[in-house]
Amino acid sequence: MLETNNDLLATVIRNVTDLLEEADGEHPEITGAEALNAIGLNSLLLARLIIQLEMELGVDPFAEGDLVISDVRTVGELADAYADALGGSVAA
Amino acid sequence: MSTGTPLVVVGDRFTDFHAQPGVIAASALLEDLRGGRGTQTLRVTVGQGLTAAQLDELDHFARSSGTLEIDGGQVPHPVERSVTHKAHDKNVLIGPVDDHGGGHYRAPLVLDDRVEVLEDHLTGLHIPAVTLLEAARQMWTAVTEQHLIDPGPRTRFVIDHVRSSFHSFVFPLPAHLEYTLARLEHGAVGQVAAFTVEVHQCGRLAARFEAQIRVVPELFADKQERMAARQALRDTTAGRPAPAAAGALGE
Repeated sequence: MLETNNDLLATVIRNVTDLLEEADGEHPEITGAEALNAIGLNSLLLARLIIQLEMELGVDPFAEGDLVISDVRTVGELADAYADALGGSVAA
Repeated sequence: MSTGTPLVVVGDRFTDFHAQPGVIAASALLEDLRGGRGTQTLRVTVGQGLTAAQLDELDHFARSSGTLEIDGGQVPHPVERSVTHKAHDKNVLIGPVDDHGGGHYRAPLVLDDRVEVLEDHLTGLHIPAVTLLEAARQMWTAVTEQHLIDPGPRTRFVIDHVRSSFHSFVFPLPAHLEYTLARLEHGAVGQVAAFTVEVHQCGRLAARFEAQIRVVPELFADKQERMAARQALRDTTAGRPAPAAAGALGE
């Protein structure tokens, strides 16, 4: 069953928040509008995030097809990428 | 051959160095030992460039003949190959690592003159800088795996930076490496180690490498590399780099 876009966004935000807390301890509140690189997600942390999300959602939007990580600028757009990969509609 | 000053044995490929007084090529010395010597004891300093087989044979003569004395007490041997992450024995450049406490470690330089970083680049009398850099890499790899991290999931070593300085020539003579740990941090994606590795010969600092590496679980490192490769491929074929604001790929 596909998760709703709001569920997907919440899942991504939770994983991002947990990772930032483990990595740094301090981070801004994540709402979805934040740029990935502005909140301290370097390439290695992003790799771990994508692995965690793949384990939770069962899909990696960047593994196949044309989408690459630089196409995704914000946390919300990352959730949109998962929505697309899962066949759902893209959130605004 | 004299029993006074030790004879220095070096690898066969250091031909320019063979012309120095008191120096002999490994194969020439072993041939002499195989032919049998008199009862006079021969003192030998083991320099650089001998193969593992030559070191073993020299060790055999030192233990069994009674007429061969190794300066320093024993023949140096290279560490087991897997410790250095190399695929061929000839490419190992260090001996066993000794823990001196307080984040200080020491290992002898044990160079086979067939090593890949000398194979096509041996000029003059000295050991080239790139060989010392590879020896330093093997040193920090060995120290990290043997002393700093717990055995567990497979990891990859990622170099953040290396700053090198070279202070004097290193010749095919005994030398050692000294590792000093400056900082070890544990994070969400592995560990970060900052340290120095120095090469010393004849009581002098010859080269110094100040470096920081990341020890990353292979699972994360593999994903990171695959994502970066796809990004680079896309940037190449699209003829443009990714915008900095959207990259988030740099460390």
